[in-house]
Amino acid sequence: MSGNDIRTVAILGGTVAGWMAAAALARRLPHHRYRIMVVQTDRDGDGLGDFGATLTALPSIAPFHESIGIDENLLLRATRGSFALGVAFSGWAASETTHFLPFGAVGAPLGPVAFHQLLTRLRREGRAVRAADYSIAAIAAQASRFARPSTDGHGVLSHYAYGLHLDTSAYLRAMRTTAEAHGAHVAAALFRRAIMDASGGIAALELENGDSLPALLFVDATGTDARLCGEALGVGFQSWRQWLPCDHATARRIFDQSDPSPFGHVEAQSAGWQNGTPLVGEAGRLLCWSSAFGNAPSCAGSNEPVHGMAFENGRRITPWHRNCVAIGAAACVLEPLHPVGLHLVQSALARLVALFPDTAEAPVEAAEYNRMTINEMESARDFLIAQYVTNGRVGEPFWDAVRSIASPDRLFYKLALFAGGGRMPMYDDEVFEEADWIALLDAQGVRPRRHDALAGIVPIERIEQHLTRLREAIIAGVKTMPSHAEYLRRAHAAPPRGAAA
Amino acid sequence: MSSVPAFTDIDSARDILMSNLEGEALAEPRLLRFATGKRRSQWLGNVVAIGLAAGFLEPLESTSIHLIQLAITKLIDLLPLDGWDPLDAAEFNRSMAVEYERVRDFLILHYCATERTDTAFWNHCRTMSLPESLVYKMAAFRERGVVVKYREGMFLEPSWLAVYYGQRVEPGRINPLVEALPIDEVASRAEAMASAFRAAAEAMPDHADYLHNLCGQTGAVRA
Repeated sequence: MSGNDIRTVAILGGTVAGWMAAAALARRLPHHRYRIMVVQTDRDGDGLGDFGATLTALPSIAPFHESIGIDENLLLRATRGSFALGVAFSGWAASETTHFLPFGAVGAPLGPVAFHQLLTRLRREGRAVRAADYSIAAIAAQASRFARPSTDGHGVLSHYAYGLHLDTSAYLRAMRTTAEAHGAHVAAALFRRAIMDASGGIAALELENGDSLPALLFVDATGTDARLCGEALGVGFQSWRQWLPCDHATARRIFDQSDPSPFGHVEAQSAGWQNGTPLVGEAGRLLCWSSAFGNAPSCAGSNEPVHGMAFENGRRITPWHRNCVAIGAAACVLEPLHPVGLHLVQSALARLVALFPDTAEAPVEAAEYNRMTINEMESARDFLIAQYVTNGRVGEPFWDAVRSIASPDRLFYKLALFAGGGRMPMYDDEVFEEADWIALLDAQGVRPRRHDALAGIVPIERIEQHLTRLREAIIAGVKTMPSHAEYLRRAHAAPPRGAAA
Repeated sequence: MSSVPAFTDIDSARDILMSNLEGEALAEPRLLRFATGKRRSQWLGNVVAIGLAAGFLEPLESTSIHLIQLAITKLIDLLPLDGWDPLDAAEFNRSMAVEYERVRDFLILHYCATERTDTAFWNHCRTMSLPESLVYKMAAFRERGVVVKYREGMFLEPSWLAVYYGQRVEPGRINPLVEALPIDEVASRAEAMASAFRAAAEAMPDHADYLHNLCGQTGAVRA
């Protein structure tokens, strides 16, 4: 960097993803050297694919909020938000089944033996055991209780995590307020077009008022429009339709005065799925389906015809191309069967800060950024595919078809190893941890053919005693929690915990 | 791999070893011949190779015991219960191969990142072709000071940094966000860190005394 010139980072898209980028970069880049400028287009939305008017954040959102100085209690109040201890799934393993995927630990190892290996041993002995019965997050969710986990690092009360349910437009406003408080600016006029430079990179953004905004780096946060990386730069989009056949979605909000549950609910439908995201006083409903398997199904008991928005799961070939970094749905579209959208954005931003370029062309930085980002996106994709290909709904055309889909190689290998001896190989930069993969497959009814050798030498009584103790500790822990509604009322009323948003 | 010329012979090597001894030789030097590399399959059928039977990496960074430990841990994890599943072997081989290759790259770095031009040996090391995985890692560090990180691999960022800097591989540029920090503040923080470490080291007992206190009286080495 030469001299004292101020360099501009131009973020295109006044979306949730765009304002998250503005907040994180304005917080991290020194103001005497960098200016963060958000340019809006004629569309806002979440920039994550616009699947509905609510968002679910994975537990990883907490450190992100902390890093940009957002107070969680204030945020919950502003977004009519609620806490999430996991997600309930019904109709996936078979049409009448329900299972719960908790945020946090399931069970506990017995000495060197992993918990799921103990379950396989017990099942081989003919005992029926349900993994979620040994998860404090699942039991608390079932009882509609909630408290933030203990931070002392031991005891069941520190063995879980929580995410958040948020109203999208309120979250967008909170993110914008935060970004502006950190010094991000918003351009005086809307985006008109990108001006290219001679080498094929982006030179500037031309605005509706005729101004042009040159920048060191451009961030494309325009969602599926991909106005910069797709439209201007022509970076290709790799479709994942062969693995994830849902291609339409429709959302609505419903008035709901009942106490919000501390978990979302995803129900398998005849040719896709429907979810419910609980907020205070209302709930979001989203229906995702595959148009190749008949007409749009009806949504939540309504008989109105549903048209819905078309979408295609997939990713940008190179999320960082020339001097433009695509984030959110401009980089990767994934139906929110598992809520990874916000996670992918915050993770991309952390990586961008670590690899921040100081020249318009930064091929080394871009290569390393793309390597990790693509690993991450594909690991999230595979988690979704795993849930489809292991479904147990036999005799329904859509579900039979997705069950016979050939998985991508890495997923195929994971599934084969798990089906054999309950092993789960892990790769670089995965979004979900080993425990999440095991919990998913166990809940889907995938049963390893055998347990490992160590699980075979523990006396069965010791395993049962271990499970009984776990269960008692979990139930005692859950009894100390207030109801979710009560905890939420206190959180909404609480004074700021740290720096105000 | 194409054949590598011999850079020295047994007699010269023995002379160098003997003339560099600081005390009296306790025995005649023992000649070891080795080929660095690893088995294509560390686990084949019902045979698992562990330690030198699985691969030989010269002890430049004392990695042998670590690789043995890793293999044992993975073997216990994948130990067959009843009957053979070729997938167990496939997973063992896959994950061990990653570990060996990451150690291999780290060892190669010591050789290829040399500035020495004084012997045919070092000229060869400086100019030999490198595995693509190492080329990628070195480019990221040389150009930008990035230590490429993976989920697996024995050597973590501090080890890579130590060898890069030790071999005088300096990043061409650093994160501009670091450059934007006031230099005086960076210098004073670095100095504070260094003096804290110096103080901690000075508070420690002499290594020989510590060893003596630990095992001197009993004569046994404690675990």
